[in-house]
Amino acid sequence: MSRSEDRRQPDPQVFDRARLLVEERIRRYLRRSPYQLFPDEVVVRHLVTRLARNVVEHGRQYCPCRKVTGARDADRPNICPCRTHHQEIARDDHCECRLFVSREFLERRSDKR
Amino acid sequence: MALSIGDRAPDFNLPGVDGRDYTLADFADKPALVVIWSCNHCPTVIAYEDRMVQVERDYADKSVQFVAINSNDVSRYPDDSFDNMVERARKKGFKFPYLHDESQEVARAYSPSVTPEVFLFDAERKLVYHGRIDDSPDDPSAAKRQDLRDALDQLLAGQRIAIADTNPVGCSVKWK
Repeated sequence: MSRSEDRRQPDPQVFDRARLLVEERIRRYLRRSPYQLFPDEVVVRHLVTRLARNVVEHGRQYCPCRKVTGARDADRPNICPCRTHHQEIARDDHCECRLFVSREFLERRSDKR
Repeated sequence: MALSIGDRAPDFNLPGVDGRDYTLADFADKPALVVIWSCNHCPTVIAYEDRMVQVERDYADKSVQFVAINSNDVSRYPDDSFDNMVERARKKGFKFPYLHDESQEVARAYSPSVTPEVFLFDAERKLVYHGRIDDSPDDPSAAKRQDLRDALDQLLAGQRIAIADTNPVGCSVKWK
C-alpha cells in the first residue's frame, strides 16, 4: 500500500467480506438499472476497493469520489448508488466516480475504437 | 473533444505553486513532457502521489519534464484550492510545477476525464501516450503494468509506444 495513504490498513478478512458485499450490491443494482459498469476492469476494481474501504471505515458504501464528512444525514445521499447518479449520468453519461455509465457511453467508446 | 494520439499539446499559461507562471514554451528544450491532471482531494491522486514524485525523480536525469495541473472547481471542492495546492506540493516535495487552471480553459483543451490522468508528449509535443500511471491504484506493489514508465522508456529509446492509450483511473474532473 502506498505510503501516501494516511489510514491504517483494514483487516484483510474484514476487507474481503466488505468487498464481496459491495460486489453483490452492485450486481443487484445492475440487474434492475439501465446502466452498465465502466468498461475497464482496473477502473472498476479500484472503485470497488474504495467502496469496500468506505464500508469498513465508515460503515456505509459511500461514493469513493466524494468526501465522507462523518455526518450521517449529510453523507446519506452519497451512499452508492448516489442519489444524484441519474442526473449525473443523464448529463455526463457517467456517475461521479464513473462506476456506472450509460449505454450510449459504451456505444461511443466502441465506435471510437 | 479529447486529445487523440498524435495531436499536439495545446498551449497554456498558468500560475504555479512556486509563484511563477508557466507556458508550454518553458519546457521546449525537454525531449519529453508529462502533463498529469491532478488535484488535492481525490483519494486516487493521493494514492499515486508518491509514485508521481518517484517517477519524476527517476526520469529527471533523462530531461523528462513533469507538470501537474489542477482544474477542479474550487467552489464545489474547496480542498482543491490554490492555497491547498501550495501546501500539498510542499508537503509531498513536488519537484515539478503544479499549476492551477482556475478557469478550466486548459482542461477544456486537453479534455481529461479524471485525476490523475497522464498526457505524454514527445519532443515535437505530439501526444504519444495517454491514460494511467500503472494498473494498480491501490497497491503499488501489485502493479503488473507500469504504463507510464514503459511509455517513457520506449519514447526515450526512439521506439513506438506499444500501448499508447489506457483508461485512466481516478475521480472525475470537477467541472464548473
